[in-house]
Amino acid sequence: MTYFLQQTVNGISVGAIYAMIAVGYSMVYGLLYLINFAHGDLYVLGTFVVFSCMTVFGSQGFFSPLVSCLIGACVAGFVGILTERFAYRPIRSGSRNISMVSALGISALLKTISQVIWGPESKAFPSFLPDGKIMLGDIVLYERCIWVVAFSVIIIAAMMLIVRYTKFGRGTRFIMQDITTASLVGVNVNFVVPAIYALGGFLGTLGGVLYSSYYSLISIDIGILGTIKAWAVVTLGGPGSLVGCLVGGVILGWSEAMASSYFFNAARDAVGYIVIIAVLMIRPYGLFGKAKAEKV
Amino acid sequence: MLLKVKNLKVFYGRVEAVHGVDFHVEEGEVVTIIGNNGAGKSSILRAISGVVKGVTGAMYFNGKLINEMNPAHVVKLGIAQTPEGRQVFPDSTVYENLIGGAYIRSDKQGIKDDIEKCYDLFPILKVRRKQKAGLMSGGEQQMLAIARSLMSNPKLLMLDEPSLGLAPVVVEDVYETIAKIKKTGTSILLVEQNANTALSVADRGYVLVTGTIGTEGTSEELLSNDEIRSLYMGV
Repeated sequence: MTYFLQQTVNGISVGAIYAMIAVGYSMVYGLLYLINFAHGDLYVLGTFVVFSCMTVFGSQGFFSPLVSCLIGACVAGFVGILTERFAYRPIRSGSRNISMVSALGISALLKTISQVIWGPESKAFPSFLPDGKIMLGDIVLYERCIWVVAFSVIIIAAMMLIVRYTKFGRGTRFIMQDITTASLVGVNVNFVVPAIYALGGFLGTLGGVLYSSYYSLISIDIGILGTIKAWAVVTLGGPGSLVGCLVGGVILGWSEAMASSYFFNAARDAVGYIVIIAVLMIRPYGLFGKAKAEKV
Repeated sequence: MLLKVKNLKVFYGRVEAVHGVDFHVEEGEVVTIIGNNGAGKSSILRAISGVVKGVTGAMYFNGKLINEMNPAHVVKLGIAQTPEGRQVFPDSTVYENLIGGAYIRSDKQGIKDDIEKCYDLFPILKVRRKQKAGLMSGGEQQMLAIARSLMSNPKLLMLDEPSLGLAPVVVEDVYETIAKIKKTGTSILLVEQNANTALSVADRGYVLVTGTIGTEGTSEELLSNDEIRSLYMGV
């Protein structure tokens, strides 16, 4: 039982990170039905910028990691705006397959840029999350787990408030329902869509920093890994749903932890997908997704 | 002149859907463009609203050139379009849809007052205000779509086939409402396949045949034109 609870704690922490990484991916998918393959490479780029900033400013204390994170997240947000403007917007009205190819191209481009600048090998990431641990009976509760979960929940809750109560959020919800009708009531699509890409890069980078801090490791390969995990989380939780991100992330993280501790480590990456198939059989649009009725 | 369109051509890729049409709408007027399915009626409205690109010719609203303008900007100038097929936001409530119609406005009190006006004009919307728009009947959704357009306080309301897919008795309701909106002085550009009904409320009309305007005239003239009667009214 102790072992089970211990693994549950670990799984939930990892799941919270998955949720953060998935937020941007989910919003873009909800808005445009675009499978954004470049999402992972974008947040890795941002996370590498954070890494470099921390090498320069230092990773101790509170202030310099914070500034580094903000710089990296803003860079990723800005690159997100650029990719939207030059790679996705010109073909927005075309078929989804065309955008998907474009996304693959951007993914390769961003990955190569990161690889040229920071090299292909993985590096030790300076973890600024506190190292302490708390004993709850026999269970070890690492402080960094608490931080990671708290941070994800706060950020996603803030996003939910924005989507629910601001004009920008209302515009986002209208675009998710119908992009043409949204523009006909005056939603400025060419402002809201790039802003969502920017938010995706920004929050993705924060998620990437949490991931790298949690494992004390950064590498180019967490990009494609992140894209796949985000895809899994969003499929599970339902595209465009922020609650779905959180719940989907936690379910994925938890089932991975269970699989690797009760079966064998390699089962980890498979089990998430088994859960997804099981969920989709009951709810084809994900746990919190909405069926989009097509009018003919 | 509120709206003036000169030699408008609309392209979808290399396909020309509208081959150079001229028409205009005066202040306070209800003008209809009638034509069969595929004649290019919706394309004209979409071009004015700025949701299709690849447009040539000139479109003036209040003397201002609006070609290729951003759709949100067009709404701000005072042109609201109620798109074809009752495109309400199905997952949002009736109230949220109405608020959405006022997206470009920031005068809170004015929006509140206008919602009350909409409820007066469409009493059913007040009853249904907390319901998800997607769960309403076709006629109710059409009413909501029109009400939502009115929430932006337009000078020109463009209606794309408000009778499409509705039962005849519901079409009557919708047109009664359009007549009421006309009385408030809002100019209306009405696109319809249902020529008889459209001409009953319109002051003037244009007949669009595969992307070109064939005939034009006052509603009385068009209603008494034998060719139009046989082609569009089955008389």
